[in-house]
Amino acid sequence: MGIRPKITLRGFRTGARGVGHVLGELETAVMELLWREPGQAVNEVEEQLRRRRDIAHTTVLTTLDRMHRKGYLTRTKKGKAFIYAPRYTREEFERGVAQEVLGALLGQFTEPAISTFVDLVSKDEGGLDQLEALIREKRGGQRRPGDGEK
Amino acid sequence: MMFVAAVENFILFSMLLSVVSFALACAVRRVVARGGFEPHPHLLSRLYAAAVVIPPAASAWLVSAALLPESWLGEAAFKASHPAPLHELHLLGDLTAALEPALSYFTISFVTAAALFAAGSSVRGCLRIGGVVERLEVNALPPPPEQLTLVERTAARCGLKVGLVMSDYPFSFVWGFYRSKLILSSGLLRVLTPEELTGVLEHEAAHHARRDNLIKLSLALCGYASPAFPLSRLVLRWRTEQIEMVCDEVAVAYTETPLEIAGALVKLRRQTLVNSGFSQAFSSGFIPEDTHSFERRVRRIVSLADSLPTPEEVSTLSRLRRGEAALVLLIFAGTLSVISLLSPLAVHEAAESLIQLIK
Repeated sequence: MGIRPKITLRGFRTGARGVGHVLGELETAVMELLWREPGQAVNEVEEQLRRRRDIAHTTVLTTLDRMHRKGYLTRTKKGKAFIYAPRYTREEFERGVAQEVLGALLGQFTEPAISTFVDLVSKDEGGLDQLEALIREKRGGQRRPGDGEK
Repeated sequence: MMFVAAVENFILFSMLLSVVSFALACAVRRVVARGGFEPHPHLLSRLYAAAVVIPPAASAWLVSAALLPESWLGEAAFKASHPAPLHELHLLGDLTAALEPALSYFTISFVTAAALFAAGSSVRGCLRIGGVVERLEVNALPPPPEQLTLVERTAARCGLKVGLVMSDYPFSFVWGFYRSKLILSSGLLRVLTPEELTGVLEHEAAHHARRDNLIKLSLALCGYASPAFPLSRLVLRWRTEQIEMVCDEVAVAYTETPLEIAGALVKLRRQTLVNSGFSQAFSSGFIPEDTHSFERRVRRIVSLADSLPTPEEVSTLSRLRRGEAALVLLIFAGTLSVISLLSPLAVHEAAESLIQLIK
């Protein structure tokens, strides 16, 4: 997986839901369009947005370009036009938002107020494969004769 | 000036003792990591707690015992029994006499500002958690009803309030100091099996029963009492690792499913791994830097499968021990009273000797 965008925590919109917390209204609409139908040119995005609201061509152009620069979208050149697609699936994006929100908040002075079973955001894999193997091995050792036939 | 001298001396001694405590805590941690001895996590957590509490408590005791005799004996009697220049009472002032009183005012202003900032940030951070949790809500898939029933049943038994966040990102935490609330995401309920979820719930319930957040807050406040508070924060992080192990043990005792709990840990760790591109965003340092601690924790849970602890054995681990705090206060006040009565100037003279030694 490539480098994911750093999603800023500033500018939260109270009352919004999901990605709407970190993206603007227009950016959210664009992401929704491209998640539904990836690989669209500027004109196609503009046409779909115009069905819901009046919007200038340059606004769509600059919005798509800005989202590409932020790392939210990928683009490939097809003829004279750029074709835009989301860099991440909706799940990946929402997961990134959750990690950013939890990580940035808990890094402040909130540690005493929270106890977690496992770190809300983990930085290091910490030999997970070996640990899984250890647990499997232990389960195997504990299994009674005949359990495997069930 | 008595107050200024008291604060100034408290800061000096708490800083000195914090550094010494940190060095001792480091040594213990290193010996344990090398397998020199394997204390129970509960014992280790208490050692780390002592390393945070003792510096400010001992400093407060020392300063009180050293500076109170003047009020206790009266100025004339104090001066008569304790001739100049030592009767000035400026233990730390002896070291920094040339910079007084500007240094005193600066120190007090700085420490007050730092304490207010830390306290304000803590309160603000705690209040923000609820808002942030709401922001994590998305149109996630609903959790299985049987998992919800399991959560409700366990929460009712443990007297925990539960908040469910509709988010595919798996997380759970106990939030709050006394009347804690268990926050779970729908993603967690979907990822874990019922046995794993039971283990997680028992673990979180143990945090609630032990009032771990309240104790953490008290220890954090003790840590902030010294300018060396970054060292205290590190020791508290080490303590938190041990507390997690204690709660794991309690959960194992009540569920008898150590491998499911270990499995849940590994599964959630994998689910919450940050992509390398994201990791730069986390400069806050709340993620433990010791990457082996997670491995040690899982291995310990797995090892519990060989000798399952019973609920009776962990009964002392799974509740708040108010008696210990009362005992510490009793020792503090009792020894202070005894020394003030029997030998009012002994501590003052000992503290001055220490200062002379530093000079």
